Amino acid sequence: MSRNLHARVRLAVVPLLAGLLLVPALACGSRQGPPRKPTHPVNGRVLFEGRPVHNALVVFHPTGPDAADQPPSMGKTDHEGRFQLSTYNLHDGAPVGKYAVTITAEEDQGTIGELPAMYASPATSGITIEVREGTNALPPFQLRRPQE
Amino acid sequence: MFAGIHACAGGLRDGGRRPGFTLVELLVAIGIISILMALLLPAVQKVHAAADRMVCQSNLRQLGIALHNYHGDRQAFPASGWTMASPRNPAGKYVGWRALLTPYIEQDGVRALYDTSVHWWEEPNLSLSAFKIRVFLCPSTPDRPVVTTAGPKPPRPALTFPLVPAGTDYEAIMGVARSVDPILYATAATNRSAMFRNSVINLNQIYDGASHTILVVECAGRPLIYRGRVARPDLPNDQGICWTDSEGGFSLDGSNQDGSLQGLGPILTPRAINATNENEPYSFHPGGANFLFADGSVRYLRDTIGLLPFAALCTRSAGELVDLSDY
Repeated sequence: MSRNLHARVRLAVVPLLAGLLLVPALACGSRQGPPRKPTHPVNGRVLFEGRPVHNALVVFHPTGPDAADQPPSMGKTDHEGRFQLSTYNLHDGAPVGKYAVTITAEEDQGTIGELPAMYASPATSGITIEVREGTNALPPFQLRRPQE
Repeated sequence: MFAGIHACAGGLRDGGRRPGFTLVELLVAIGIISILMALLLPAVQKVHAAADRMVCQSNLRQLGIALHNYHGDRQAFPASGWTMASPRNPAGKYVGWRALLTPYIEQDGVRALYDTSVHWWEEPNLSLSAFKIRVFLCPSTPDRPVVTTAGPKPPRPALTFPLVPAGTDYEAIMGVARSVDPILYATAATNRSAMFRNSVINLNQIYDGASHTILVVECAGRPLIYRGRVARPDLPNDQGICWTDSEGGFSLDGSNQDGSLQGLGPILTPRAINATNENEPYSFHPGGANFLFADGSVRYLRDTIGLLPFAALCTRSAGELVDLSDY
C-alpha cells in the first residue's frame, strides 16, 4: 500500500522536475533576433601617417542587401595597431560580404590626437572591404590627414 | 571509572527519573532556533544594505545640490576635469570636478588649501588628497587597501603619495563610447554627457532632458579593480586613484558578464552596470546602482538594464527615447 503510494508520488514528481528543468532550458535555447551567419576570421592593422594607432575602434558596417539583419563587426587595436574582428563572439571575424569601414580613436591618444573626422562615418571614410571565406588577412589601413 | 558509566547508564534505563530534556527535545529546540536565525539573518543583512543604499543616495543628492549651486554661480556644470587653459581654468592645470565642488559641500577649508595653479598631483594638492570627505564615499564599499603609489598616466608621472590618499566612489560620466552604436554615437555632438574633459555645459544644452541625463555614477572601490564581486589587485589601474584625481571620469563602454572584456558593442559586451569598476558604472549595492541625474534627482537603476537604454541616459543630446519607469 505504502509502496504503491510512493510509486505514484514518484510518478508525479519526475515529470514535474523534468518540466521545471526543461522550461528554462528551452527559454534560453531560443535566441531572439535574426539568425546568425557563419563568420570568417578577419585581422588587420591601423596606421596613421605611418604610425600604429593604439586603442582605435575599427567598425565594419555591413552594406550588403540584408545589412539590416546583421550587427556591425568590431575590433580594437593593440599597441602595434593590430586588430581582430568580433561579431558574435570574441575574435570570430565577420560574415562573408561587403563592408564600409570606420576607424575612430579616443581623444586620449597622446602624440597622435584624434583621428580625422572623415574616418568616423561609413559615408565619408572611403574604406570598403569584402570579407571572403577563410582567413582574411587585410593589408594595413593607411590613414592620412585630409588634403586641404 | 567504567563502573561509573555503567551505573549512570543503568540509572537512565531504570525509568529516567532524572529531570531534564531528552536528546530529541534538545535537537528539536536547536533546530527551531537555527531555522529562526536563518530567517532573521538575511533580513538583518538586507536592512544593512538598504541603509547603506540610502546613505549613498543622500550623498549623491548632496552632490546634485552642490552641482546645481555651482551651476547657479557659473552658468554651467563643472567639467569632469580640466586639462587645458581657458577662462574657467586660467592656469591650465589638471583640476577635477570634486575639488571644484568642495565649497558647495561645506568644505571651504579644503578649497582654501587646494591650489588650482598647480596640477592635482603636485603639492599642496597631493597631500590634501589624504583628507577624507564622507560625501564622496559610499558606505557599501569595502575598506580600500592602503595604496600610496600610482602608475603614470601621461602627462602625469608615476606618483608616490606622502600620505595615504582618500578614495571616492562617485565619478562623472563623460558620455558613451562609439562602439555602443557606431552610427548614432559617431561624433561628439551625440556621444557626450554634460560633464566631460574641459566641458562648459549648462542646463539649456541638455536636449535629452535633465531628468533623462546622468551626471554622476557610482564607480565604487577604485583604485582597486573589481570584476564581478572579486577584487583584482593584480590588474593595474591609473584612473580614479583618489578624490582629487581629475582623470577618473569615463565614457560608458559596456562589458561582458564577468567584466573581462569591454567596448565591443551590445552583443559581446551587453552589461552596463556592476560588471566591473574598470571605468564602468559599478556599486556594491545588491542588484543595481545609484545615479545622479542632471535635474538633481537620484535613481536606483537595476543592473539588468540593457546597454542601449542605459547609454541613452548617458548622453545629453542624442535624442534617444527611453522610458525610465521600465527600469
